Amino acid sequence: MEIVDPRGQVETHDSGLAPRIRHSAGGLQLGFLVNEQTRHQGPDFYGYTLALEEALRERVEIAEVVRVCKPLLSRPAEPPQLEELRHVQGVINGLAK
Amino acid sequence: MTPLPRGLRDLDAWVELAYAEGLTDGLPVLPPTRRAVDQLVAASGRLADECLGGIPPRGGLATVEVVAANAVMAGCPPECMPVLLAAIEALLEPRFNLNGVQVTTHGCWPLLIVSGPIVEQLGMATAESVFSGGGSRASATLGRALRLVLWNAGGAFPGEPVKEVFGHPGRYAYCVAEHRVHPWSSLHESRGLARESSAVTVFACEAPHSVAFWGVGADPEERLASVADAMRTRGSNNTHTMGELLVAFSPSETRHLHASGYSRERVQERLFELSKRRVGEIRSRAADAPATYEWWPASVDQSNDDALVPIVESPEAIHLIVAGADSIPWAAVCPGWGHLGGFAITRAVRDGEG
Repeated sequence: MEIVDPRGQVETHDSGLAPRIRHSAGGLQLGFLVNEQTRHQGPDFYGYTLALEEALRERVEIAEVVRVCKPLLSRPAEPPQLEELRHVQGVINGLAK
Repeated sequence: MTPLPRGLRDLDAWVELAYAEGLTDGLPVLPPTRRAVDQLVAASGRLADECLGGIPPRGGLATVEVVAANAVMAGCPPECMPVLLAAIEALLEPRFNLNGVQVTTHGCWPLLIVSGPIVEQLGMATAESVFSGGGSRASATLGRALRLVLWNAGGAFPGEPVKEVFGHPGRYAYCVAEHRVHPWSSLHESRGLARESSAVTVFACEAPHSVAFWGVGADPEERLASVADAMRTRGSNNTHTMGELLVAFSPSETRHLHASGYSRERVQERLFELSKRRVGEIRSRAADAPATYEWWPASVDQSNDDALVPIVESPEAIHLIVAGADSIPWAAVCPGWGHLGGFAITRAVRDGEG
């Protein structure tokens, strides 16, 4: 009995890791890509990013923090949001509830 | 992903392989034999290697052959293939946000709504038990085939990556067909297709919540107020973030509304108005509650507890279908995913082989 695989092939592309963040002389430019402006269960997400920022400042010099909000938590960030983060050296992205 | 063996000795070997490789969500499935898959591909009128797109979140490519393999596993008859392919094309439109629908914590799932002459041609159920297949092979297996495509090509497995908190029984199979004979325009006609077209509409929604007209008379406004009450429950994604929603009316209630001067459009407009809720009923003024609801339109004065908030984006965002038993005037409400996606997409069904 010959059978057909129902799962479908997945197209993959080789890509390397993004360049590691180096400590620049003027300090690190850091981005946070967050979800909605306010969370409706549990702590406010901006609260998490503030806590993370504080923890990072104890370890590295930070020159700038950019916080960008996705318009919809269920979809990837749109090009305009990514453009706002283009100049930073690293972005932290996540969902907190 | 482990390659499957091309040849199996018998049906028992297939059953063991299907469970061992996670090719099913727990229910038994038929073997996608080369002969049966080729038969469904031929019935589709398309080439086996035509690709509809990658099914998120895994991204398995849904070629016509892969779709046919899942349809065979579901027990789908060949003549259902054009409907199934149109439904998958609709799901892959970016506006639907299939990736989000597949993995969300919410209990919505794509409902297939089939309308037009193909309903009769396929022998689909439109009356009793319409939301659970109604004993029709086409109705049950179309929903089942879609589930298997989303499972196998999409990799929508519970836990990782699917974060659905409670689940939805319709994930096993969620397909409904609209009655052909009623006084309103059909769903696909109201969405811009020709009356005699056959079409499939996909809409991510919760299970149907029945509305019986207890304690009300024949006044259409009272009946619609009962439906609106079921539409605007607290905790529903619609009530808090708007989006879209589906209401099914039984044929007898549709005739009653129509005879009372209520067209499809008038019912949508009345339900839109009647389902609005006071700001003060929805949002809390507690210190730890959100200061603002970012989803509501600017026209809503959020500082005024008596301001009325719509629970869908517009009257047209209330999708009406006519379905179910003709024995009693009832309605059913299927809340959507709110503003997050799963919005209704309608596609005409292309002719297949015959």
